[in-house]
Amino acid sequence: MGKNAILKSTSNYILLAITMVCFLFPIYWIIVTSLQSNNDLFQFPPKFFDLNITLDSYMAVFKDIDFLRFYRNTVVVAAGATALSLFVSIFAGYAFSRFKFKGSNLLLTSFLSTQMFPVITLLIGLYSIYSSFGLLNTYLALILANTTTALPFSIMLMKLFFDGISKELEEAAEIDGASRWKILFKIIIPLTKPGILAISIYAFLVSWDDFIFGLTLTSDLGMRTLSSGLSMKYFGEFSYNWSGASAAAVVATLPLVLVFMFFQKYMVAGLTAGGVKG
Amino acid sequence: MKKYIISKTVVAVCLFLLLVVISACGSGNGNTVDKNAGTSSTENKDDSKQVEITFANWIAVEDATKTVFEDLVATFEAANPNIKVKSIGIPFAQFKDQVLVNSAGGSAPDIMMSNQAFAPAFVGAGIVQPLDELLGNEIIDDIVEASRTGATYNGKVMSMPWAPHPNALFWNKTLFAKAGLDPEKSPTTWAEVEEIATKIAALGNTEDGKPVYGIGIDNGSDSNSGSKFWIPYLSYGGNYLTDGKLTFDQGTALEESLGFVQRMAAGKISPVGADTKILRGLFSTGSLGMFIDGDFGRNVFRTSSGKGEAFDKEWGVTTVPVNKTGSSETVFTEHQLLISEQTKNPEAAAAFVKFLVSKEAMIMYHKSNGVMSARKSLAQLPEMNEDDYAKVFNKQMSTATAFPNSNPKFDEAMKNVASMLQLVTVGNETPANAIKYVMPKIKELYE
Repeated sequence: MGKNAILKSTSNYILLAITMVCFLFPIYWIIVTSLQSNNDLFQFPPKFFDLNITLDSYMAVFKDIDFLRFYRNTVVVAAGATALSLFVSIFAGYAFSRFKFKGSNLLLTSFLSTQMFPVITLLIGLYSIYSSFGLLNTYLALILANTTTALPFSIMLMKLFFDGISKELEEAAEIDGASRWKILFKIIIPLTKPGILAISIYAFLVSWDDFIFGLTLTSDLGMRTLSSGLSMKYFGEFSYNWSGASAAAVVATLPLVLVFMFFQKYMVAGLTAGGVKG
Repeated sequence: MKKYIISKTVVAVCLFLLLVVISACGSGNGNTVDKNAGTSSTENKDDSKQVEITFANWIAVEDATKTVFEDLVATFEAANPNIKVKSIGIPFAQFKDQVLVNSAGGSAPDIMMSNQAFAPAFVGAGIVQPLDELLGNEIIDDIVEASRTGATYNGKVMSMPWAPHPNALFWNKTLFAKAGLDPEKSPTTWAEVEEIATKIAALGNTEDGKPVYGIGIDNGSDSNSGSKFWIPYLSYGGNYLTDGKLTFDQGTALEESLGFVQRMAAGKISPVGADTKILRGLFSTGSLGMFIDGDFGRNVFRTSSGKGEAFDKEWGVTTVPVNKTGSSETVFTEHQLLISEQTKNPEAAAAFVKFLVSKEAMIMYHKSNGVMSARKSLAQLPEMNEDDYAKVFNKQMSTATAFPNSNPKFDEAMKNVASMLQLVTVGNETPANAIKYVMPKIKELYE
């Protein structure tokens, strides 16, 4: 290996190490903050190593009924939004892929355009609609709102997957007497498993992380989801409970990390496969 | 066969998840849920009917105020059995935006809590109604003058001042003693403040290795930091507005007060980049010699120190020392109450507001959290002045200046002031340069 190659390789590793530190440091900081008392945290400049470790904040989080309620609500909303996104995007994606009609491309673009508006600009309109339908403070409101966020990308991804499946396959099944539904469920959908998993993970992540809908469309403490509930519980007017908030954040993030760890290969495969075939 | 099993599984999963959706649609949270969160659920046409009023606030969810809030509501409901108060808890940081969204969406809360920074936005958006008639002269004429000025818009009282929070000087007796100073003697002038702060900072570190600072001057980056700067600025004789015209940079007060902040930061006498929330934490952990804060400080320090009431022995509080004006110059923030323009129950809403500012409620709130009343007749009550702590803050209120919040640009102007502070502390610019760079932006806001 030449001198230049070694130099290039070393600088690459250094660059990667710096990037990794940039990404991992916030996670490290949240974890160590959650493991210290607020009393130890309040020093300026902050201390990064040689810490007094305590699990008090975790104990407090698990004893907090409100936190458990936020957790339950988030699970229901994330699962519901994932299901709905999956259901709609499979059919919509299939329809956009197989049925070409006048204005179909425009319709697909208009779906995508909803993601181009900052959510904050739509908030008053959305709030008015949900209010007039009596949906405020319901799981349905949060599920619908998060589904609308996840849908544009999900539909596009599913369309790309369906585009990649040969139409001859469907024609052959049709000749053998299979109906359109049977073809879809028994032939097409199984071939798009990576896409379905990718969409599931994506929709779940979007819903789990939601803050703005959870904050705006619910006002009952019992209906708050994790992000909006934690903001209310730990960040007060006069002081912040950094240790408690960090412990709650770690506990709240764990399911996401686990979901991603187990399914990341499907997510990556789903995204890249869809991209290539499209 | 394998593909068939997979497709069956996918369909089953879809159906199961759909069931979750459907059950969610029907179940709500299992509690009684007001599906029309913001608006009154029952019109107050018949006095014998139960009326529900909604109160948007942030004190119902904060640990320090949650219990007393529940007690206040219970006391009110016991005395007014036909009125039920439904609390809408909104995080403080998102409070203003959420109330504006709810109101614009047609589901405004009947009553909304506010502070002097949020109220102009609510008034400006036209989502609240005048209180003069709803609350009556007995209450309106009883409001402390400085508070009333800040709550009056175009001659009408639009927000009811509830709990004013004048800022006074806290000092750490332990650090005073360690620095060879009399722990019971607080500074009386800003020159003494500077001298004492320098001595305390010279201590270096606490026993557990934390850096010690002589004084905490807020030099963070948001508008609150800009507002806090008013205290040294006023003490140097500054006058932000004269007859409605911006006079912030006239005279020497701005340059001198920025110079003071710079000296404190450059000598590491005050922590650089720290805002009030950080400074409260530092004071609570014995790392800060002096700190100017509101009357809620005691409760915050008790909680943050982890020592509870025992921590009270470690500090003292006094009125802000005098400087060029010869008077104890300070500012006050304030919690206020507003009634929505959209409310269907203005009388019930007014009854709740009247209760919250009444003698009974204020004494309850004062006992639990040490808050003060914005009503002249209540501020003087022995129950509101039962200890030196309460007396100091009541005395401080008499010299406290109200922020000119009725100008909607004020908050933006204070963000620019915070930039000035950053320039002299982090950027090491001279005060003259900081003024030269930032003042045009502030002037532009007032043109």
